[in-house]
Amino acid sequence: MEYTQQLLEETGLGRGRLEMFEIAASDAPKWVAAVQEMTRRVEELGPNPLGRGRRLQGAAVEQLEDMVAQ
Amino acid sequence: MIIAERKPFAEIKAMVAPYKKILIVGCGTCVAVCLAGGEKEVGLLASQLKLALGLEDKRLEIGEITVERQCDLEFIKPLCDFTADYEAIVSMACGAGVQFLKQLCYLQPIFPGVNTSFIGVNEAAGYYTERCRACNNCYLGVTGGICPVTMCPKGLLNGPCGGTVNGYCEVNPEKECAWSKIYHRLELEGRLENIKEILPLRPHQRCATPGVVIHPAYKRRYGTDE
Repeated sequence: MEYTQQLLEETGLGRGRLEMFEIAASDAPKWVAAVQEMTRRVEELGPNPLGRGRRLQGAAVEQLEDMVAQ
Repeated sequence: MIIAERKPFAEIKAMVAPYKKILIVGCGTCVAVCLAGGEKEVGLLASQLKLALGLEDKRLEIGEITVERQCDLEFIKPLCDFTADYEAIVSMACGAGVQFLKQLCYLQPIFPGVNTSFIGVNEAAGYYTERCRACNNCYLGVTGGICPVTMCPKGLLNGPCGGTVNGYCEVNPEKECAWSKIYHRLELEGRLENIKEILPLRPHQRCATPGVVIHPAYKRRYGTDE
């Protein structure tokens, strides 16, 4: 994990975008805390610099909406 | 086996910077075992380069291939035609593999992707230690299977020296004295008298570089039959 973070750091993407959490299936509060932590980090780091304004289009958007609806 | 470490990413990135299409060639033997230059590491390096250059709005076409051994003509010969399409090659093999591959693919520049460290062993996952200096004159039979040339920082053939402190070395007090270990090993084997044997000066002419070894069965083929 640390090695992969180091590889990301070297490439210039930063190590903060990747993290591993150990959470038991029954430990909902820990899951929520982990999601909040990653959300906070991503907001701080900003959008993926490799994405550069790429947006989901056409079928991909519909597919995503279907998945959310389910 | 040969132990190597991958070169720092920034160094590799700088080496391939002038090119638009490169080939990364992995080696599936020693450097694959020490997680420095095998198929997986080739993939990692290619992904890292693509990501890093993507961040700079640059484009680099990368080919990936891993052969069984880059130090063996049989395995690298088929690469000759394959490499013709590329502007440069990054070889993830040890120094021997890089040079051998370049001998064949002499048109393109070749860059090493790893730093070759030593001949060593895999003590535990990801933990490698040196054991042999390839001195071409093995003493292990009389030193209880511990190499004084490699394990003693002074490379003493007759020891221990006066710098042994409670079984540890004066050069690095955290390291056990090789000759102290040899003594205890020989004692355990019941051949402590071996330590009294004075070994002659090391025949340095036998480690003259570059070394050549011709198997006795092939002497006539290579014109060295006496």
